[in-house]
Amino acid sequence: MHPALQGLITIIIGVGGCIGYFYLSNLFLDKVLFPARGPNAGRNINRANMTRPWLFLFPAIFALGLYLAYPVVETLRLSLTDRSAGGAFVGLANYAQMTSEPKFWEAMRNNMLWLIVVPAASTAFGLMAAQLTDRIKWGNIAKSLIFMPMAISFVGASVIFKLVYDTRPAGQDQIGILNALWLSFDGGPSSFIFLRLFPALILLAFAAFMLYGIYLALRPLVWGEAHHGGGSWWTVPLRAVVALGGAWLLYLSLKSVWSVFTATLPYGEPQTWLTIIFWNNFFLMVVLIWIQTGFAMVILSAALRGIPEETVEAAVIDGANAFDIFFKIKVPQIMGTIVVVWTTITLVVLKIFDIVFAMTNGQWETQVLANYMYDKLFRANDWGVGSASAIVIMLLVLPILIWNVYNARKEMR
Amino acid sequence: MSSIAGSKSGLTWAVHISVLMLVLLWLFPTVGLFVSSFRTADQISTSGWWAALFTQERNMVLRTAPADTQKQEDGLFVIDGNIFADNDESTDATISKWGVSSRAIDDYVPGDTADMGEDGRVTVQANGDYRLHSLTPARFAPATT
Repeated sequence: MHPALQGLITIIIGVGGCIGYFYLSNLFLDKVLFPARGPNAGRNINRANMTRPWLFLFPAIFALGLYLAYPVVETLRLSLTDRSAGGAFVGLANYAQMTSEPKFWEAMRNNMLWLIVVPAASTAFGLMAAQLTDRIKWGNIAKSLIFMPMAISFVGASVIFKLVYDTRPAGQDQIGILNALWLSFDGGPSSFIFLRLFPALILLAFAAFMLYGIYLALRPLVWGEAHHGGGSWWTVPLRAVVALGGAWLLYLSLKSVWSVFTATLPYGEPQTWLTIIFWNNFFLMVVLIWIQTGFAMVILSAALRGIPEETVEAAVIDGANAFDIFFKIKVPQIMGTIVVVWTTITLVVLKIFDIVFAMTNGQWETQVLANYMYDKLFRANDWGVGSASAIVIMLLVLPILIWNVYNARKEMR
Repeated sequence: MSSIAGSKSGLTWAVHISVLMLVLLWLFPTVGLFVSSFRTADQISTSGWWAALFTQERNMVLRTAPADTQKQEDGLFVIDGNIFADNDESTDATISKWGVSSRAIDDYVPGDTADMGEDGRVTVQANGDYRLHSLTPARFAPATT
């Protein structure tokens, strides 16, 4: 039979089946099960009306249950049983085994690192790109070019960045741009400017930014304004936590400025970037930041366009400078959108698998939870520990998911 | 903000430059893949993709025309022609260095004459024209660009 004909028949059966289900089940309910006649006509009508919503909801609930609820419950069950012992219930033994593995804690630590760095960097870059391209003529072209990586799959992006990070032995031509750049530095004055002075300036700018953030977070507390701006009771500890986090980052960046100037750099040696312990995580994160910045930029750009022009004009008349307008007028007005973008990227990061799988496969201490799960489930064939790590990922995703849905609904109202 | 009188920033050029930098930075990895897609596997694994944007240096092993094309001039056996044309290669390349042995491929510059002992002497020009003359009938001469 011709495939097109088969497709047509499938469509007819599918659509006809749906219509038939709703029409016939409704008919069955009204005429056969609870007929609106006889001695119990009134009671039957009431019962039919109470049953009808469930009847109509049944296909959706069934599909959701089969494809959403069942896998979750089954994973939970698998995480509590031992497959090699014939599916015997073993309690939390799988979880105990998992938490005793250093590779799991490495995955946890890396996931937390990803969780902090990637959403922060993507949102920051996205906000910067959105604001910069907002008022220039070729802004739309620039935005589409920055958005383009969104169209590339994670594995494709990994291939692209594998080429960037590639290493050839010393003496051969480097084919990775990063190593080619690295080898062009020889410890001379240009190396000092680009590898020591320039990073130090960026770190100092970051430190100044953190200082400003701490000031913004603490100002209402110090000046006793916390209850004026409609702040709730929980904003006080939140502000304290933000200020503490900022102070820690400030300390880190200032410490890094010192080490940037004192570190001895191995000039002239090609670096295998993806095997440098700890820092290789950041080289992997760059891939995701590269992809997600476009997403953040598009959403935040729309939010920036939605800011009432009058608020900006009023600020200009009051003598606000460009920084004040951006941080005190625009950013507070799009805070809700920033939070939604941040949490959405957080969800992507928690499930991150492809990039690590394609680039390092969790070697050299780059393991993440999803890749750990894959490793256990499909390579070690240990369904118990694999399911346990899947449950851990779900538990980590869940609060952020709820928070995200809550925020998105609040935005829509 | 440009619509508000008196607030035109003097830093417009800085905005343009930083956006341009950002766009180039974001585009760069993809451009690498795009350029690589036009190169052979050999080229990709031996040189960076940015090298494709500039003049390429390539090592080639080429042979002169076969010995049965030689002519006799003033008691010498002579083979001449264009080294690229004789090997069916494209002729828009330029020879920067050449040699007559695979162990020393950069002994001579264009215009030099290589003495190959009893095999005779060969002169190669930058555009690939060569002239091989010998007292005895010739065999071959690899030239390297």
